[in-house]
Amino acid sequence: MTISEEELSYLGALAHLAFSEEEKEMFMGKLDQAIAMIDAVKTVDTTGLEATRTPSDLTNQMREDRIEPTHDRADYLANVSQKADDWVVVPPSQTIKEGKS
Amino acid sequence: MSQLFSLSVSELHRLLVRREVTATELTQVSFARLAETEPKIEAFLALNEEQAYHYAAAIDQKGVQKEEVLAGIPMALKDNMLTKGLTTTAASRILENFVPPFDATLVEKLQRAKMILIGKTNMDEFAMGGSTETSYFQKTKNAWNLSKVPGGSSGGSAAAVAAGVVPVAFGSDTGGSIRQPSSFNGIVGFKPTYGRVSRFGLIALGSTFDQIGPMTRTVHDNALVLNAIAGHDPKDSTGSPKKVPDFTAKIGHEIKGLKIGVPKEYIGAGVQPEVVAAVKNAMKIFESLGAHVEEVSLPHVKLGVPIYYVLSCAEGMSNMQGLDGLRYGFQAQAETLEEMYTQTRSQGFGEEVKRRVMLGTYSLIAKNYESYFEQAMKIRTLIIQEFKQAFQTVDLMMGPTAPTVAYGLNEHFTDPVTMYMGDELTIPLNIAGLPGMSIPCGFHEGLPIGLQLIGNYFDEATMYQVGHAFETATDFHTKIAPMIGGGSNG
Repeated sequence: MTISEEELSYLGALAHLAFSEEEKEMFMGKLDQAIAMIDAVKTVDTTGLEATRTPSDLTNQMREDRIEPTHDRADYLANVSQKADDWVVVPPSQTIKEGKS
Repeated sequence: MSQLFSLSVSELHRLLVRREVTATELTQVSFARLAETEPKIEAFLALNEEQAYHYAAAIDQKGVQKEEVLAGIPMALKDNMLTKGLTTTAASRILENFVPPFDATLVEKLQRAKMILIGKTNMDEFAMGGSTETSYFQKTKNAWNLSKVPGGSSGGSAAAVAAGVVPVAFGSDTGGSIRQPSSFNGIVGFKPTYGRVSRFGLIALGSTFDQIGPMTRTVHDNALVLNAIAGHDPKDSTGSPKKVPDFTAKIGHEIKGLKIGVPKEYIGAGVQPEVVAAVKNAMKIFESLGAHVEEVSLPHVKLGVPIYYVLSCAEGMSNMQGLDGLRYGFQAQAETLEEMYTQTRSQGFGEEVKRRVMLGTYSLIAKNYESYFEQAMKIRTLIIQEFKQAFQTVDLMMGPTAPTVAYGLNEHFTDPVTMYMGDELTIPLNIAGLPGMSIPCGFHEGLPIGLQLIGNYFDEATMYQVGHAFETATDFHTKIAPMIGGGSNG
């Protein structure tokens, strides 16, 4: 296996994903298959080639900042699961909860 | 009444202008056809019935003017395109009840064109898939054979057009998600040049790959619709400021003397023999119309799938980071913020999304960044160079859209890598940012085969010219999906 259980947990923590014991087996297997497939990129000599970060040939066009009406605050808040008045309610972060703040 | 949708958009337009049919009647035809077909194909995730009739009545009151070429024509949108006040889920549990507070630029443009939104179509979750089977909600069926997949990720849009529910639908294409389902459903699907159509309000998958495009029954309809949606949008900084031509301008012009390249890698190993035969037949048809067909080579396109899965998963992983349960969508209950993020995402995303997020993370971690991510971007350069070089000698290219016809439901569902290879002929265009169109070019065992035309940058008009010439010389696009077979889901 290319991906160890430890590495799966590490990647999961970075991606904010957790896996059950059963899922771990499955994801390790499927990730191994996918990695074997993407390993093909290592077979090419790319010396001297620039990386393409976008297929577009555009460059940034800056403009003066303008203040203008955008969207309604109530429309945005309508999709929030937990709220109090006009505020989004979130659970305390791990650090605060453990009193380390 | 349902015969109306065997007419082209232009023919419907003429009837609307002469008031021989009304927008309300077309809306009725759409919903009646939907009621008949939806139990079989399950193409829709949300309907816009009340609004659609309201809107149609307003159009009828004023009447359709000659220059309003799309006014009163029903259409459907893939469910990753934001519609103010109408749920937009990207077929994911994590956005199950999400009601967007604004419209995508595409949607605003379609409103200006006075098209009538019938509903939102099923897709692979966050457009991650090639069969529409990764949808959290339902599995859409192929309109030609109900035991087959409709392709994906814009499978709902393709099935809705093939089943005659709407004459026009919209898809998004990151690695083939407009063209491959169009191929599987025997319709015309167009992915414009990267930057041609605004993506503002499209739920992003791979930001350097995504492009929106029309799915229709004919080439001319498709060009008419692209006219309405193309053009620069200040809200999309990746949009091209290039002038938008009339995409129908060259339709009907003869193709005599045009040079069409066939990349030899496109008709080689791994492509079903019947698909190769249909494409070779298309080559003969083009030659009989006076075009010059010649072989070209794009040696590195064979690496398209691996580099696509490095880059699009890395970009997709980054785009998925905004889905944390805080501001919209599903939220899991948890004691801490970190646990809430993790539980929301672990319960809210399906397997394929998790796989791609994990693969994208793998390619981006410090020890892999150079060897996978940077390396894939360098091979991307190589593929772009090869396409540009080929376009120095040919006006456009052709090949199959997909290596096979539609496969069975559940056939590849548990085998992601085989599924990924199904996009090997469409992905290279997204890597290069080039436009591509799938048009019907044959059948195998009652299932449609798609011919892919590959155009040069921003030269969509020539593709429509050539596509229309092919359509005029053949009758594949006139066949109607029978909606038979299946029943077992297997």
